[in-house]
Amino acid sequence: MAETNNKDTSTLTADEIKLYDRQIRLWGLEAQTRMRHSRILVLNLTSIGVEVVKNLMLAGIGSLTLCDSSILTEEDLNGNFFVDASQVGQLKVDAAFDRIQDLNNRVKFSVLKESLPLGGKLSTSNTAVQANIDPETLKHYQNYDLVIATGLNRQQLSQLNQITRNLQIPLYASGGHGLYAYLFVDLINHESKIQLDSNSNSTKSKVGILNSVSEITNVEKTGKDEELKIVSTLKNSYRTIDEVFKSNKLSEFYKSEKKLRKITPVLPLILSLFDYSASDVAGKDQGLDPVVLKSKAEVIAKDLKLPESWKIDENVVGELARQAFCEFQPVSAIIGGALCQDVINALGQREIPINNFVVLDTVKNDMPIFTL
Amino acid sequence: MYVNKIALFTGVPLMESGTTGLKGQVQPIFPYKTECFACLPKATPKSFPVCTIRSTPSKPIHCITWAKNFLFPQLFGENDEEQHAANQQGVSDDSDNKDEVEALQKEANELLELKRLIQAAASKETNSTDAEFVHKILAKIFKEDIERLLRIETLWTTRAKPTPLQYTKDEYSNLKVSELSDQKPWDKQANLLQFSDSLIRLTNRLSSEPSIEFDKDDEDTLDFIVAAANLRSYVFGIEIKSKFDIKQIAGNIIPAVATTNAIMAGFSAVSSIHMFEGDQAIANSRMVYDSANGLKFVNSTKLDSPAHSCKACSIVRGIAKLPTNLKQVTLAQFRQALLEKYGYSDDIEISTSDSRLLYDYDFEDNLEKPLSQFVGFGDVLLISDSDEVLDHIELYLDGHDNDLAKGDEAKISLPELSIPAFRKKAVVEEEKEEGKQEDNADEQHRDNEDGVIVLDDEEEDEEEDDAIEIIDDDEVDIDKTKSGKY
Repeated sequence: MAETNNKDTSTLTADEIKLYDRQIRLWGLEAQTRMRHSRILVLNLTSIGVEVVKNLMLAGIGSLTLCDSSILTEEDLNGNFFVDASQVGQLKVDAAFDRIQDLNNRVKFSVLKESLPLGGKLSTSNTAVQANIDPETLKHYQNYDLVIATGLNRQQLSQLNQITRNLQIPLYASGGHGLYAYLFVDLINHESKIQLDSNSNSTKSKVGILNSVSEITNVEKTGKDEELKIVSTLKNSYRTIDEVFKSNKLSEFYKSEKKLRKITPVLPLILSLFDYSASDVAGKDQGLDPVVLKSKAEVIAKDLKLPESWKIDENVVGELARQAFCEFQPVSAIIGGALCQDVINALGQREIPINNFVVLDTVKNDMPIFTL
Repeated sequence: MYVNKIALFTGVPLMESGTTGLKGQVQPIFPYKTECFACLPKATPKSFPVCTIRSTPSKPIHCITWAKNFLFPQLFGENDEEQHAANQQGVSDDSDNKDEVEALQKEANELLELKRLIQAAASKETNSTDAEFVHKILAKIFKEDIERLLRIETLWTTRAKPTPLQYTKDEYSNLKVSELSDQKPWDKQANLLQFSDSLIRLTNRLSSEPSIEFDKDDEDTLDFIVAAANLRSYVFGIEIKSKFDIKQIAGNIIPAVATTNAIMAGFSAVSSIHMFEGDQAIANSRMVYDSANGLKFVNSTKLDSPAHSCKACSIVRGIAKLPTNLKQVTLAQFRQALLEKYGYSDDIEISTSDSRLLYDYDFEDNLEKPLSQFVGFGDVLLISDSDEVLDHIELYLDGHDNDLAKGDEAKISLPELSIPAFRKKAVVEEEKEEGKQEDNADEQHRDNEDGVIVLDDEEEDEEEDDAIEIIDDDEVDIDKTKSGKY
């Protein structure tokens, strides 16, 4: 897929402006132009992957490469509107190809039918693989501007994250467990120019450090009085997935013990589920062992420095153990929509992207953003 | 609003949701148990006094509204006489400045002249932007009318004066319409050229079309609005906007994106699970809306009880099932059924939703007439207690189902309702009045999808007399979102 856009003009054609009219009105021509030039790799056509691919095709990115080596099964049909029952048994990407391309012929769409190498030796421990990454592995990723992975386990995500860090490519990762889902964002270092109200007294209108992950590096003021416009440059720095698991940042954003105590049990539970793979629950009606899941979550809660008074909710443990790795289309639509909206925000550089971990709980319609 | 009302009549839960750009909301509605769609205040429409639009614009939107809602229909709209009369009336009611009223009336009269000029020109096709009538129109709208306004000195004591448009034909003769950018604002010359060019195009169309309405996707009309609004902005020293921007304002375009729609559709689907949780349905349901808070991607709240003052759900509603042949039911039978069913102490008043009285104790003329003479299925009747013991109710009329047991076809089946005690008349009257206006506005929304309404002055109280409203019509969006037009 490697080659860049054949026309490297920075402007969109009149046809494109007409086609993308509604969204250009929302995020501006510049962001649409950046999107037209971006090359995005999507790993795995899970139910969330389906939503992500749909949103990116409709948004009008430059090229989309979809990598999935799995065969379409009957269980996949519920969460994948690109395929139908007659295609069960085919490779997922083959089955879905035409309907994906039909969404938008302007996007250069291609598929990879074999899993991409993640480099390093597969280790059985959960500690990060610190081995040097094979240059051959890097070659598979170097021609993309952004990588989106769905349904990876901790080790796979950790390895992928090392690759994207090595190549300085932004990474999004997401996965769903029944009525719950997560979104992880690693933009490494990201700058956005945000417009502030002229009468804003916010700390964002002054140069300085906002918190341990973001700072205002520049403030531009134009015009006077009522016409005053303030544009601040906000720099966000991100952590890798390995750092997320050992994060001590919760207490920085939830300053009192009372607030910390209220942090949803879904956060450590969903992080615990990174230790498993979809194959661990395949064919088991009971799902995972809730006792094991709970103890894993309690370890993670400790790693994240949640206070002693924080208690895990047994009901939520039971639900997540039962629902682990189940795909549910409405949940995928929400988390996939949030993921793509953030990709657009990150590319557009006018809104502040998520930093860095979102938990979705559709039982309570709760969707907190944690900085880990 | 309509779907909400039907949900109230039927008692069926409603999952309301919609998006505007990056914002969106999902609201589960359990009729009479939780807040309904009408309980929550909707964004108040922006409205401008007529004098701001006609005499003293200060923002681009004022000039765009003038071009679209005033100038364009005056020149290309239908039945000029009516419109003319309406304009006259609106102005004289509104303004206490006599000079201004006179000036505006004169202006309107002259516009009628311009319309005749255009119609005359339409009969003899022309392609020259140099046509005499084009210059007459330019001179009249952007020069003479402005000079007339300038003579009313009281208007300009606290405002910057406008400058009548000066131009020569040569200024724009070597420009081409096809080379104008949609994204960048045009300069004065380009606007002059586009004004003339689109005026000729529209005029030529009038030879085969009786009238033309503004449509954001009709390039001729859009070009005219853009150029006319910008030339007016130029005269009043207001910022010039690009065609792209004016299309959004004049066409009331609501930006929509796949991501927000997917997110809200997802919440809507997943929230509907709670509707099947029986006793716990309401306790477990959450309303979802967008968040501006960095710690949350969306906000969610538990459902509130219905608002006490809600115009829609403070009235008890139900469905009355009637014989499929409404000719078989007299008003007297219907009244009797109501008295028996709900135990009114003495008598009732029956009126239609458009406030036509069908029956009360001293108006018995209609009693022996069949219901079919007044209403049909799908209509709503308002029932009031003459003794003021029970509160008003509204009944939606429907035919019996086909599978009804034999012998029941001629019966009137009324819904089980618990009717609250009568509330103070003054309050109810006021609500009725507001409700009526709202219904009216609803109808206009449907006719007028672009959401800009010139309200009839008769229906408004004095303060709001003759305002031009821009409605941020949530309902319209939602419909579109649901039917997938975006």
